[in-house]
Amino acid sequence: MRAFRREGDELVAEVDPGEREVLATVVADVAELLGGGRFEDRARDTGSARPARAGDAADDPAALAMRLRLEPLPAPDDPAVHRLLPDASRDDAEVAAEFRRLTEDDLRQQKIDRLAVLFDALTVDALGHGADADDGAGEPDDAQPPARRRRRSRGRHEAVAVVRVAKDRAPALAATLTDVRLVLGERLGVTDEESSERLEHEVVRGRPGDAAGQARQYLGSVFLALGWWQETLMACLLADLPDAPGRRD
Amino acid sequence: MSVEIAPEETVHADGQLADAWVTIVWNDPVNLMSYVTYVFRSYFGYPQAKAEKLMLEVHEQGRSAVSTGNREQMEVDVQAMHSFGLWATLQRSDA
Repeated sequence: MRAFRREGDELVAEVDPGEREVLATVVADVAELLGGGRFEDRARDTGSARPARAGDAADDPAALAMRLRLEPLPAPDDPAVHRLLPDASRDDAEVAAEFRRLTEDDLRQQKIDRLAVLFDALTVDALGHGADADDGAGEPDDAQPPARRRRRSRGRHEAVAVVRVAKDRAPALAATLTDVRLVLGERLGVTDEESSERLEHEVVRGRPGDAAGQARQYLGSVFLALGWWQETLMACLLADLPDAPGRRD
Repeated sequence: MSVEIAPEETVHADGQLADAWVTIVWNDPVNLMSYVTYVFRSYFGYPQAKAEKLMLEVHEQGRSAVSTGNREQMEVDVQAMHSFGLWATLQRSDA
Protein backbone atom coordinates (compact mmCIF):
# COMPACT_ATOMS: atom_id res chain seq x y z
CA MET A 1 0.00 0.00 0.00
CA ARG A 2 1.50 3.29 -1.10
CA ALA A 3 0.71 6.82 0.08
CA PHE A 4 -1.86 8.86 -1.83
CA ARG A 5 -0.45 11.60 -4.06
CA ARG A 6 -1.87 14.29 -6.29
CA GLU A 7 -1.87 13.67 -10.04
CA GLY A 8 -3.70 16.50 -11.75
CA ASP A 9 -7.32 16.33 -10.67
CA GLU A 10 -6.96 12.90 -9.14
CA LEU A 11 -5.57 11.35 -6.00
CA VAL A 12 -3.66 8.18 -6.74
CA ALA A 13 -2.26 5.30 -4.70
CA GLU A 14 -0.99 1.84 -5.54
CA VAL A 15 -2.19 -1.19 -3.62
CA ASP A 16 -0.45 -4.56 -3.78
CA PRO A 17 -2.42 -7.63 -4.89
CA GLY A 18 -2.60 -9.25 -1.46
CA GLU A 19 -3.64 -6.02 0.25
CA ARG A 20 -6.21 -5.40 -2.46
CA GLU A 21 -7.93 -8.67 -1.75
CA VAL A 22 -7.87 -8.18 2.01
CA LEU A 23 -9.23 -4.64 1.76
CA ALA A 24 -11.96 -5.58 -0.71
CA THR A 25 -13.10 -8.35 1.63
CA VAL A 26 -13.18 -6.07 4.67
CA VAL A 27 -15.06 -3.42 2.69
CA ALA A 28 -17.61 -6.04 1.59
CA ASP A 29 -17.94 -7.25 5.19
CA VAL A 30 -18.81 -3.76 6.41
CA ALA A 31 -21.39 -3.34 3.63
CA GLU A 32 -22.96 -6.66 4.61
CA LEU A 33 -23.16 -5.54 8.24
CA LEU A 34 -25.06 -2.47 7.03
CA GLY A 35 -27.49 -4.67 5.11
CA GLY A 36 -25.97 -4.16 1.66
CA GLY A 37 -25.72 -7.87 0.76
CA ARG A 38 -22.49 -9.38 -0.55
CA PHE A 39 -20.65 -7.09 -3.00
CA GLU A 40 -18.82 -10.09 -4.48
CA ASP A 41 -22.14 -11.58 -5.65
CA ARG A 42 -23.33 -8.32 -7.15
CA ALA A 43 -19.97 -7.74 -8.84
CA ARG A 44 -20.02 -11.23 -10.31
CA ASP A 45 -23.50 -10.73 -11.77
CA THR A 46 -23.22 -7.19 -13.07
CA GLY A 47 -19.50 -6.38 -13.12
CA SER A 48 -19.89 -3.82 -10.36
CA ALA A 49 -20.79 -3.72 -6.71
CA ARG A 50 -22.81 -0.62 -7.39
CA PRO A 51 -26.51 -1.04 -8.16
CA ALA A 52 -27.11 -1.69 -11.88
CA ARG A 53 -29.26 1.38 -12.37
CA ALA A 54 -28.42 4.43 -10.37
CA GLY A 55 -31.52 6.37 -9.43
CA ASP A 56 -33.59 3.28 -8.79
CA ALA A 57 -33.99 4.26 -5.19
CA ALA A 58 -35.50 7.59 -6.18
CA ASP A 59 -38.10 6.03 -8.50
CA ASP A 60 -38.92 2.87 -6.61
CA PRO A 61 -42.11 3.42 -4.57
CA ALA A 62 -40.99 0.86 -2.01
CA ALA A 63 -37.69 2.67 -1.51
CA LEU A 64 -39.54 5.96 -1.23
CA ALA A 65 -41.90 4.50 1.35
CA MET A 66 -38.88 3.33 3.31
CA ARG A 67 -37.63 6.88 3.47
CA LEU A 68 -40.98 8.14 4.65
CA ARG A 69 -40.87 5.91 7.66
CA LEU A 70 -43.72 6.50 10.08
CA GLU A 71 -42.90 3.98 12.78
CA PRO A 72 -39.91 4.38 15.08
CA LEU A 73 -36.80 2.43 14.17
CA PRO A 74 -34.90 0.63 16.95
CA ALA A 75 -31.18 1.37 17.32
CA PRO A 76 -28.96 -1.34 15.73
CA ASP A 77 -28.08 -4.29 18.01
CA ASP A 78 -24.56 -4.73 16.63
CA PRO A 79 -22.33 -2.16 18.39
CA ALA A 80 -20.26 -1.68 15.23
CA VAL A 81 -23.36 -0.82 13.18
CA HIS A 82 -24.58 1.33 16.05
CA ARG A 83 -21.29 3.26 15.86
CA LEU A 84 -21.88 3.94 12.15
CA LEU A 85 -25.48 4.94 12.82
CA PRO A 86 -25.21 6.46 16.31
CA ASP A 87 -27.85 8.02 18.54
CA ALA A 88 -28.38 11.74 17.94
CA SER A 89 -28.97 12.34 21.64
CA ARG A 90 -27.44 10.85 24.75
CA ASP A 91 -30.20 11.81 27.14
CA ASP A 92 -33.33 12.51 25.12
CA ALA A 93 -34.82 9.29 23.74
CA GLU A 94 -37.49 11.20 21.82
CA VAL A 95 -34.93 13.31 19.96
CA ALA A 96 -32.82 10.22 19.18
CA ALA A 97 -35.82 8.19 17.98
CA GLU A 98 -37.15 10.99 15.79
CA PHE A 99 -33.72 11.57 14.24
CA ARG A 100 -33.25 7.87 13.56
CA ARG A 101 -36.67 7.56 11.96
CA LEU A 102 -35.91 10.46 9.63
CA THR A 103 -32.29 9.78 8.72
CA GLU A 104 -31.17 6.20 9.28
CA ASP A 105 -32.32 4.71 5.97
CA ASP A 106 -30.58 7.44 3.98
CA LEU A 107 -27.37 7.25 6.03
CA ARG A 108 -27.26 3.47 5.73
CA GLN A 109 -27.74 3.60 1.95
CA GLN A 110 -25.18 6.38 1.54
CA LYS A 111 -22.58 4.39 3.44
CA ILE A 112 -23.29 1.22 1.44
CA ASP A 113 -23.03 3.15 -1.85
CA ARG A 114 -19.69 4.67 -0.84
CA LEU A 115 -18.37 1.25 0.17
CA ALA A 116 -19.43 -0.08 -3.25
CA VAL A 117 -17.39 2.62 -4.98
CA LEU A 118 -14.29 1.66 -2.98
CA PHE A 119 -14.94 -2.04 -3.56
CA ASP A 120 -15.06 -1.41 -7.31
CA ALA A 121 -11.92 0.74 -7.14
CA LEU A 122 -10.11 -2.15 -5.44
CA THR A 123 -11.42 -4.89 -7.70
CA VAL A 124 -12.92 -4.02 -11.08
CA ASP A 125 -11.64 -0.53 -11.82
CA ALA A 126 -8.15 -0.96 -10.53
CA LEU A 127 -7.53 -3.90 -12.85
CA GLY A 128 -8.81 -2.40 -16.06
CA HIS A 129 -12.53 -3.01 -15.67
CA GLY A 130 -12.30 -6.72 -15.11
CA ALA A 131 -9.76 -7.29 -17.87
CA ASP A 132 -7.33 -10.13 -17.42
CA ALA A 133 -4.47 -8.97 -15.29
CA ASP A 134 -1.86 -9.95 -17.88
CA ASP A 135 -3.33 -8.67 -21.12
CA GLY A 136 -2.40 -5.03 -20.94
CA ALA A 137 1.09 -4.96 -22.42
CA GLY A 138 1.39 -2.73 -25.46
CA GLU A 139 -1.99 -1.13 -25.00
CA PRO A 140 -1.75 2.61 -24.51
CA ASP A 141 -2.95 3.76 -21.14
CA ASP A 142 -5.10 6.39 -22.79
CA ALA A 143 -7.28 3.71 -24.30
CA GLN A 144 -8.82 3.15 -20.90
CA PRO A 145 -10.76 5.55 -18.74
CA PRO A 146 -8.48 7.17 -16.16
CA ALA A 147 -10.02 5.34 -13.22
CA ARG A 148 -9.42 2.00 -14.87
CA ARG A 149 -5.83 2.12 -15.90
CA ARG A 150 -3.63 -0.54 -14.53
CA ARG A 151 0.02 -0.46 -13.80
CA ARG A 152 1.62 -3.27 -15.73
CA SER A 153 5.33 -3.08 -15.16
CA ARG A 154 5.09 -5.90 -12.65
CA GLY A 155 5.46 -9.60 -13.36
CA ARG A 156 2.60 -11.96 -14.10
CA HIS A 157 -0.02 -12.34 -11.37
CA GLU A 158 1.32 -9.32 -9.59
CA ALA A 159 -1.22 -6.82 -10.75
CA VAL A 160 -0.63 -3.80 -8.58
CA ALA A 161 -3.93 -2.00 -8.39
CA VAL A 162 -3.86 1.72 -8.96
CA VAL A 163 -6.64 3.35 -7.01
CA ARG A 164 -7.55 6.61 -8.68
CA VAL A 165 -10.05 8.97 -7.16
CA ALA A 166 -11.28 12.22 -8.65
CA LYS A 167 -10.54 15.02 -6.19
CA ASP A 168 -14.22 15.76 -5.63
CA ARG A 169 -14.87 12.14 -4.68
CA ALA A 170 -11.93 11.90 -2.30
CA PRO A 171 -13.90 13.17 0.74
CA ALA A 172 -16.36 10.29 0.22
CA LEU A 173 -13.42 7.88 0.13
CA ALA A 174 -12.06 9.36 3.37
CA ALA A 175 -15.49 8.92 4.98
CA THR A 176 -15.64 5.31 3.83
CA LEU A 177 -12.17 4.55 5.18
CA THR A 178 -13.42 6.04 8.44
CA ASP A 179 -16.48 3.76 8.46
CA VAL A 180 -14.33 0.68 7.83
CA ARG A 181 -11.88 1.69 10.56
CA LEU A 182 -14.73 2.38 13.01
CA VAL A 183 -16.06 -1.15 12.49
CA LEU A 184 -12.60 -2.72 12.81
CA GLY A 185 -11.90 -0.57 15.89
CA GLU A 186 -15.14 -1.69 17.50
CA ARG A 187 -14.40 -5.36 16.79
CA LEU A 188 -10.85 -4.96 18.13
CA GLY A 189 -12.05 -3.29 21.32
CA VAL A 190 -10.42 0.05 20.58
CA THR A 191 -12.43 2.12 23.03
CA ASP A 192 -9.90 4.69 24.22
CA GLU A 193 -6.36 5.94 23.61
CA GLU A 194 -4.97 3.24 25.88
CA SER A 195 -6.54 0.27 24.08
CA SER A 196 -5.54 1.89 20.79
CA GLU A 197 -1.88 2.01 21.85
CA ARG A 198 -2.07 -1.52 23.21
CA LEU A 199 -3.30 -2.79 19.86
CA GLU A 200 -0.50 -0.99 18.07
CA HIS A 201 2.09 -2.63 20.34
CA GLU A 202 0.54 -6.03 19.79
CA VAL A 203 0.59 -5.71 16.01
CA VAL A 204 4.12 -4.36 15.90
CA ARG A 205 5.49 -6.94 18.35
CA GLY A 206 3.61 -9.67 16.54
CA ARG A 207 3.26 -12.75 18.72
CA PRO A 208 -0.20 -13.91 17.75
CA GLY A 209 -0.34 -17.28 19.55
CA ASP A 210 -3.69 -19.06 19.12
CA ALA A 211 -6.22 -18.67 16.32
CA ALA A 212 -8.05 -15.83 18.06
CA GLY A 213 -4.73 -14.05 18.53
CA GLN A 214 -3.91 -14.51 14.86
CA ALA A 215 -7.28 -13.11 13.79
CA ARG A 216 -6.73 -10.14 16.07
CA GLN A 217 -3.25 -9.65 14.68
CA TYR A 218 -4.62 -9.77 11.15
CA LEU A 219 -7.51 -7.35 11.71
CA GLY A 220 -5.24 -5.14 13.78
CA SER A 221 -2.72 -4.80 10.98
CA VAL A 222 -5.52 -3.95 8.50
CA PHE A 223 -6.82 -1.36 10.96
CA LEU A 224 -3.42 0.28 11.35
CA ALA A 225 -2.62 0.15 7.62
CA LEU A 226 -5.94 1.80 6.79
CA GLY A 227 -5.24 4.50 9.37
CA TRP A 228 -1.92 5.25 7.75
CA TRP A 229 -3.47 5.21 4.28
CA GLN A 230 -6.24 7.58 5.31
CA GLU A 231 -3.65 9.87 6.91
CA THR A 232 -1.87 10.21 3.55
CA LEU A 233 -5.23 10.92 1.88
CA MET A 234 -6.00 13.61 4.47
CA ALA A 235 -2.63 15.28 3.86
CA CYS A 236 -3.61 15.66 0.18
CA LEU A 237 -7.13 16.87 1.00
CA LEU A 238 -6.03 19.35 3.67
CA ALA A 239 -3.34 20.77 1.40
CA ASP A 240 -6.02 21.45 -1.22
CA LEU A 241 -8.34 23.44 1.01
CA PRO A 242 -8.13 27.22 0.62
CA ASP A 243 -6.01 28.99 3.27
CA ALA A 244 -4.25 25.76 4.22
CA PRO A 245 -0.91 26.25 5.91
CA GLY A 246 1.81 26.62 3.32
CA ARG A 247 -0.48 27.88 0.59
CA ARG A 248 -0.03 31.46 -0.41
CA ASP A 249 -3.35 32.27 -2.06
CA MET B 1 -45.11 53.71 18.74
CA SER B 2 -42.08 52.26 20.36
CA VAL B 3 -44.29 50.84 23.11
CA GLU B 4 -46.03 48.70 20.51
CA ILE B 5 -42.86 47.53 18.82
CA ALA B 6 -40.97 46.56 21.94
CA PRO B 7 -43.20 43.64 23.02
CA GLU B 8 -43.03 42.16 19.53
CA GLU B 9 -39.27 42.26 19.61
CA THR B 10 -39.24 40.62 23.02
CA VAL B 11 -41.47 37.81 21.82
CA HIS B 12 -39.27 37.36 18.80
CA ALA B 13 -36.14 37.32 20.92
CA ASP B 14 -37.68 34.80 23.31
CA GLY B 15 -38.71 32.62 20.38
CA GLN B 16 -35.13 32.62 19.12
CA LEU B 17 -33.81 31.74 22.53
CA ALA B 18 -36.25 28.89 23.09
CA ASP B 19 -35.29 27.47 19.71
CA ALA B 20 -31.52 27.56 20.20
CA TRP B 21 -29.91 24.16 19.70
CA VAL B 22 -26.33 23.03 19.49
CA THR B 23 -24.44 20.22 17.73
CA ILE B 24 -21.93 18.37 19.93
CA VAL B 25 -19.16 16.17 18.49
CA TRP B 26 -17.84 13.46 20.84
CA ASN B 27 -14.35 12.05 21.03
CA ASP B 28 -13.56 8.57 19.78
CA PRO B 29 -10.20 6.79 19.62
CA VAL B 30 -10.49 5.82 15.95
CA ASN B 31 -11.02 9.06 14.05
CA LEU B 32 -7.84 10.77 12.90
CA MET B 33 -7.16 14.29 14.14
CA SER B 34 -6.40 15.35 10.57
CA TYR B 35 -9.73 13.94 9.39
CA VAL B 36 -11.77 15.64 12.11
CA THR B 37 -10.05 18.95 11.29
CA TYR B 38 -10.77 18.40 7.61
CA VAL B 39 -14.47 17.74 8.29
CA PHE B 40 -14.79 20.91 10.39
CA ARG B 41 -13.07 22.94 7.69
CA SER B 42 -14.77 21.49 4.64
CA TYR B 43 -18.31 21.05 6.01
CA PHE B 44 -18.65 24.09 8.27
CA GLY B 45 -16.21 26.23 6.31
CA TYR B 46 -14.27 27.09 9.48
CA PRO B 47 -10.74 28.48 9.08
CA GLN B 48 -7.85 26.19 10.00
CA ALA B 49 -7.29 27.76 13.44
CA LYS B 50 -10.93 27.39 14.52
CA ALA B 51 -11.24 23.87 13.07
CA GLU B 52 -8.10 22.80 14.91
CA LYS B 53 -9.27 24.37 18.18
CA LEU B 54 -12.59 22.49 17.99
CA MET B 55 -10.81 19.26 17.06
CA LEU B 56 -8.49 19.60 20.06
CA GLU B 57 -11.48 20.26 22.33
CA VAL B 58 -13.03 17.01 21.12
CA HIS B 59 -9.76 15.17 21.56
CA GLU B 60 -8.77 16.56 24.96
CA GLN B 61 -12.08 17.40 26.63
CA GLY B 62 -14.09 14.60 25.07
CA ARG B 63 -16.59 16.86 23.34
CA SER B 64 -17.03 20.15 21.57
CA ALA B 65 -19.98 22.28 20.52
CA VAL B 66 -19.34 22.76 16.82
CA SER B 67 -22.44 24.59 15.59
CA THR B 68 -25.57 26.33 16.82
CA GLY B 69 -28.94 27.05 15.26
CA ASN B 70 -32.53 25.84 15.38
CA ARG B 71 -33.39 22.18 15.78
CA GLU B 72 -33.84 21.51 12.07
CA GLN B 73 -30.47 23.05 11.23
CA MET B 74 -28.77 21.00 13.94
CA GLU B 75 -30.42 17.83 12.65
CA VAL B 76 -28.88 18.55 9.27
CA ASP B 77 -25.45 19.09 10.86
CA VAL B 78 -25.70 15.96 13.01
CA GLN B 79 -26.71 13.89 10.00
CA ALA B 80 -23.72 15.27 8.09
CA MET B 81 -21.39 14.40 10.98
CA HIS B 82 -22.78 10.85 11.12
CA SER B 83 -22.24 10.58 7.39
CA PHE B 84 -18.60 11.55 7.96
CA GLY B 85 -18.33 8.91 10.70
CA LEU B 86 -18.15 11.40 13.59
CA TRP B 87 -20.43 10.81 16.53
CA ALA B 88 -22.53 13.92 16.99
CA THR B 89 -25.61 14.72 19.05
CA LEU B 90 -27.97 17.68 19.22
CA GLN B 91 -29.38 19.32 22.31
CA ARG B 92 -30.90 22.56 23.49
CA SER B 93 -28.08 25.03 23.92
CA ASP B 94 -28.99 25.65 27.56
CA ALA B 95 -29.22 21.92 28.35
